[in-house]
Amino acid sequence: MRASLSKSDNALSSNTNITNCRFKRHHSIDDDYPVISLSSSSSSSSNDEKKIHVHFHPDLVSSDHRVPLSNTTSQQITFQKSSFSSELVRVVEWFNQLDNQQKEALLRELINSCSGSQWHLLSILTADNWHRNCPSDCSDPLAQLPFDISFHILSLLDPISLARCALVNKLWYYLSSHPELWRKLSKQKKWSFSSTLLDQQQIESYTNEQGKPQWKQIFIERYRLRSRWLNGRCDVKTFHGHVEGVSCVQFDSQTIISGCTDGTIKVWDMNTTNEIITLVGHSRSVRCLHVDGTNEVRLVSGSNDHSIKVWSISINQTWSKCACKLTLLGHTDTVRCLVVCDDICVSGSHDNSVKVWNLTNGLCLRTLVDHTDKVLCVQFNWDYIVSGSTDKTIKIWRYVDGICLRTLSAHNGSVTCLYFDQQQDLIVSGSLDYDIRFWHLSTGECCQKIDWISKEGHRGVIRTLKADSWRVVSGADDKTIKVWDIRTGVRLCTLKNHTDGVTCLSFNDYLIVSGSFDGSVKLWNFRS
Amino acid sequence: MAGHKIKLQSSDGDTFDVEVEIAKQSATIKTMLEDLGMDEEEDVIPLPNVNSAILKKVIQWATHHKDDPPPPEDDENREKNTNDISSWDQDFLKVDQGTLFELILAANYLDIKGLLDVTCKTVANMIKGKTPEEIRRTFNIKNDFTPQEEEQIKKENEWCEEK
Repeated sequence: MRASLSKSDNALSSNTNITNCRFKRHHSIDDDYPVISLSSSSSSSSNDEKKIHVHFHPDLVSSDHRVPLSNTTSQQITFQKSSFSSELVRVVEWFNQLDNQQKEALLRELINSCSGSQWHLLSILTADNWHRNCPSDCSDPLAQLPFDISFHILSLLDPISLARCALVNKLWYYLSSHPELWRKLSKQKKWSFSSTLLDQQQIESYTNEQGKPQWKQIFIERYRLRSRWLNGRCDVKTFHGHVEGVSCVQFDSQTIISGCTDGTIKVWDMNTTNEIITLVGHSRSVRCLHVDGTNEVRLVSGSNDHSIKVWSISINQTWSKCACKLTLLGHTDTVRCLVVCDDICVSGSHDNSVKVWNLTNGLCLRTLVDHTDKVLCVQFNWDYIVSGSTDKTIKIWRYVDGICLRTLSAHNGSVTCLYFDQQQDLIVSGSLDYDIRFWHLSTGECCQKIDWISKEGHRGVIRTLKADSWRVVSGADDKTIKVWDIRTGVRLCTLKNHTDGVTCLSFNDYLIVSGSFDGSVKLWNFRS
Repeated sequence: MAGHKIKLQSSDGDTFDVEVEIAKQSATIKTMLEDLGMDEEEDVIPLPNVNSAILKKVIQWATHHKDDPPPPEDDENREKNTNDISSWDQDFLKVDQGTLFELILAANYLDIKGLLDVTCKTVANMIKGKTPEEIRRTFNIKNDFTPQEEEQIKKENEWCEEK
């Protein structure tokens, strides 16, 4: 139809005065030629009705091709093809007499009157003619604007759009590759590492001999790492050696340390998966541990034998040694959970209490008593201690004096694991009831529940949960590890490889280390 | 002070009467008035870098935005948002690219942060989400890479096309 339309012209003669009318095209049945009708603008003679709406070919200077407007309105007077054609000739002649400014003004008006099918036509007709007679780069912002403004515009782009700019031409490649743009992106919270230490180390690893960080390369690695987390793409290594279930696990840059229900603690070489050393000291199951330090590693472990032990471990190429420095006695039942910061250790026990210890002298500073059943999980900072219990509640305590500030209840089972972050005003908890809950630390209000029915959550008891600035990682009896967006609660990925429930985990920006009832420790590496 | 007017003169010689408070959205004009102690009633402020058509648009923009709170400081740590352009500004900026670039230059010269922000965001939105070929077409840019260079950069860029 369009082809035939563009040829419609000339030979027909006018018999209607159509100066003040709208051209309309209808598809007639017996002809592939359009019937032109005119809307009755004679009935309303206001000025804005007196516009001629005609659709032009982009090659406007030539009068050979003309396309009338298609559309329908309620009131139409069919008029002869001949009169349309001759009017069209007149309009085009008139157009050709206008100066450039007038032509542009008219075109703007016409385009403002276009709707669906005309836009479609315009798109097709103009696509190959954009800037047909313009000088090259006539509307290239980066060529036309001063450098600092070009730079500002590029800094507003998302990383993918910015990367694609490099392929436009040499100027765009040069400007879009500016390290400052990629430094700014890399420093944005979304692309920064959660661990400031790892963030710094990554930048250093991409710093050249002149001391200049390769910011685009730094960003690309961050981008890849994040997308591997979002898609659950990682390599898995398995550490075999424990003969019973693994109950707790932690790692540092080179080694993994895991505690077992048989009472042993093993230290593993992260790269080779070889066992470096086995510590035997607790008379019963090791339930929780903490490691820190680099050369001289400090290990704090809690056990079913009611004690907490502080160990000093030295690991070298050729020899390793381990010494138990301190044993903390005070709990009257299993030490189920502990956290350490500087020389302070906070522990939770099956004796229903939470204790605060000084690790330099082994003295118990405070005992927090308010839970009515076993304390299964605890976290603290210098303002608050937060604990979860078999009594199904979470309690928030003031750190300095151990006063219980608030009790949160909503879980229908023991609270088995939790994380809190004062800056994000957030507590995240996992429970025997299979649910993960998000709470406001400041108000104690439960703001989100992740269950397996509505949110594709875990289908088993949640045993362990850790989080950082943007993700929550949880492990459960359903043998899976799941990663969640901490802000939205949306599940990012599910990791399956353990053959029994996942009991414990620890993670950083690059990897997750997990332990399971199946006796294995696994390393999930997201680094490409 | 409210209601007091000053005269602004464009590069092509037209003068515009503008309320002082509106004109002061331009940090450049504000400095001229305050530091140079210009007599508002009498003097004409010449703006040799802005032609009359663009100055008219700038005044129109500044008049609409005269009661806006000062724009917030940029936060380097946050992702940049370019989807927060008000519908009035979107309509206002439905102009050809030449006019848009002239508005950017004028906003830059007159130091009107709000107008510079919104115009730069508009250009950024014209680039966002497009393939290199689409960007070239949008801005009429010639590809001056050799096939080897293009191949090399495509390789460097593989990461952003990974799924």
